[in-house]
Amino acid sequence: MKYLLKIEWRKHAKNPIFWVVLGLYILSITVELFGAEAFINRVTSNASKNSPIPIPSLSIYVFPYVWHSLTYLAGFLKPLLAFVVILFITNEFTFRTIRQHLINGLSREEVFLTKFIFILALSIISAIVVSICVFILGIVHTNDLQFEMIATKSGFLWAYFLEVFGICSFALMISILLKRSGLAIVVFSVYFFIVEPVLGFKLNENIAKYLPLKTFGRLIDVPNTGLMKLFGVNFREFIEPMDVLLSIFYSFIFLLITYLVIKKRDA
Amino acid sequence: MENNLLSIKDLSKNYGRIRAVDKLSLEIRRGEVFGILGPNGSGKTTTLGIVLGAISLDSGSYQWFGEKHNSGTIRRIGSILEVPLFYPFLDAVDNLKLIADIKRVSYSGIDDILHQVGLFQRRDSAFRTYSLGMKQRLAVGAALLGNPEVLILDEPTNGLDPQGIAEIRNLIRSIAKMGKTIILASHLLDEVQKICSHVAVMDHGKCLFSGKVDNMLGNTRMVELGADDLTALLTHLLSFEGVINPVMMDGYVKAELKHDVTPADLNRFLFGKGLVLDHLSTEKMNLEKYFLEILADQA
Repeated sequence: MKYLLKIEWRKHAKNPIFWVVLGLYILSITVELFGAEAFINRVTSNASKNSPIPIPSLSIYVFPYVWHSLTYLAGFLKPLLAFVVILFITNEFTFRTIRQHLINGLSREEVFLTKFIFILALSIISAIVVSICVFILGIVHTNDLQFEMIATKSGFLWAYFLEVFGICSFALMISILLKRSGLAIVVFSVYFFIVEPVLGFKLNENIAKYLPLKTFGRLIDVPNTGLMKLFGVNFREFIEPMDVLLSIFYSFIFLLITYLVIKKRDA
Repeated sequence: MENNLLSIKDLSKNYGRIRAVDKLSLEIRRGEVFGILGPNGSGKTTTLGIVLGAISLDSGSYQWFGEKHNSGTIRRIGSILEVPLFYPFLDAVDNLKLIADIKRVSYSGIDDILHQVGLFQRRDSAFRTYSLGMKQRLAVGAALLGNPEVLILDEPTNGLDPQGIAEIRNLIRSIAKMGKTIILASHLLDEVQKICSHVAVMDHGKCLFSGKVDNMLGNTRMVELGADDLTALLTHLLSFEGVINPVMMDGYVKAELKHDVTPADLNRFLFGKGLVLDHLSTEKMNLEKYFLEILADQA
C-alpha cells in the first residue's frame, strides 16, 4: 500500500497543474467558510429591517455548532473536488500511462488501488482543510471554550468526509468509464445539476431520496440559523445512521464498478 | 535452465468481426533477437499487448519463463508498445523513477541508462519538450530499467528521421550484444534484417513463417541461368542435387542454390553435361523478397 502511495505521489507531486487546481479548491473552501457569516449577517439584517420581530443573531462559528454549519457549507463545493478527480484520473487515459503501468508490471488490482488511494487522499485533504477552518473560526468566535464543546458535534466531520468520498468515488467511476476529461465533466455535471434534481422533482419523494448523490447530500442537513428559527423551521441536527449506511453502500458500488472496468477492459 | 522464454499457443483475439490475432503460436528462446515482421494491422501490437497483460485474449494461452501470467513475470520484461508513454510534465529522471517504483527496482541504474540513451544532458527537462527521437530513446531507456531479461520493442523507430532511426538501431544492437533477449516488432523488413537473428512473419493475425533470419537469407541464393536450349538446361538442373526448385521463366531458368553449392559448382556441372551457359547471375535473396513471396503464397 505504501509502495502504491509512493507511485501515486510521484505522479502529482511535481505536476504544477495539480497544485494549482488543488490550491484553488482549498482557497475556495477557505473563502467560502470565512466569508459565510458576513454574507448571512447581511441577509439577516436585510430581513430584519422588514420584520416586525427582531431576528436573533446567532453566530454560525460557535462551537459546537460550527462543525455542523461549516461541513454543510463546504459540501456545496464538492463538485469542484469531483472535477479534480476527473481531471487527474482521465489524465492516465489521455497520456495512456495506464497501459504503460500495466506493461511495466503493475497489476490491475494495483492500478485500481492507486486510484482508490488518490480519491481517499483528496477526501482526507478536504476534511482536514474544513476542520482547520472549524478550529480557527470556532476558537475565535466561541467564548468560554471547553473541550466537550469541541468534541460534541465533531461527528459532522466524519459525515463530511463520507460525503466528499462518495462524490469522489462517483467521479472516479465516471472518469474510468468515459476516459475523456471533457466528456466526463459534462456527464458528471449534467447528472449532478440536472438529472438528479429533475428526478427528485418527478419521482415519488420516498424513492427520490434514495438517489445516490441526494443520499450523500442528505448526510448533513441544513443547519438551524437564527433566520430558520424565526420561521419555525427546524432541521435535523444529527446524522441519520441510515444515510451513513446508504452512502457507504453507494460508494462501494461505484468503486466496485470502477474495479471491474479496470479489471476487464483492454488498456 | 528453462530455455523457452515466451511460448504462445493458439492465441486468438477478435475486435468485433475483425480477427486481430488468429490462432497464433510462437516460441521465443533465450538470447534470440526475435523480429516480428508484418504490415501495419497484421496483429503484432495486439499480440504483444496480450502477452504483456494490457489486452485480454479470447482464446489460447501464453507463458513467460514457463509461468502463467502474473505481474511478477511482467516486471522482468522491459517493454515499449507502439509509442513512448510518459507523463509530459515530469522530467526524464522522475518518469524513470516512477517506472523504477512500479518495477520495484532501485534508482541506482537511472544515470547509467540516461548516459546510454544519450539523454543525460537533458535529464531535467520535462518530457513534453523532447523531440520524437528523444522520446523514443527515453522509452528504450525505460525498458532497460532494472536490467530486465527481455526487451520488447514495438516499432521503436516509427516516425523517426533517418538519424533517429540509426541511433535507435545502434542502441538496440548494443543492447543485443549484452546478451539480452529482444523481441522487435516492425513493419520494416530492412530493420528486422539488420537487427534480428530470428524472425516470425505475421499477416492477418497469423504466423506465416518462423525461423532464423540467416536461414532465410544468407544461404539461399537465387540464380538465373540462360542457354540456347532451355529445355535441356531445365532437365539437367532437375537432376542436379545442388539446386532447389528450378523453374522455366520467360527466356531463362530460375532456381535456388543450396547452402554449400557455389555458382562455380553449378557451372562446372552443366559444362560437364555439355551445356554452355550464356547467362548466369546470382542474387542474394533478401527478406523483402522472401516476405513478399510469403505474403503472395497466402493470397
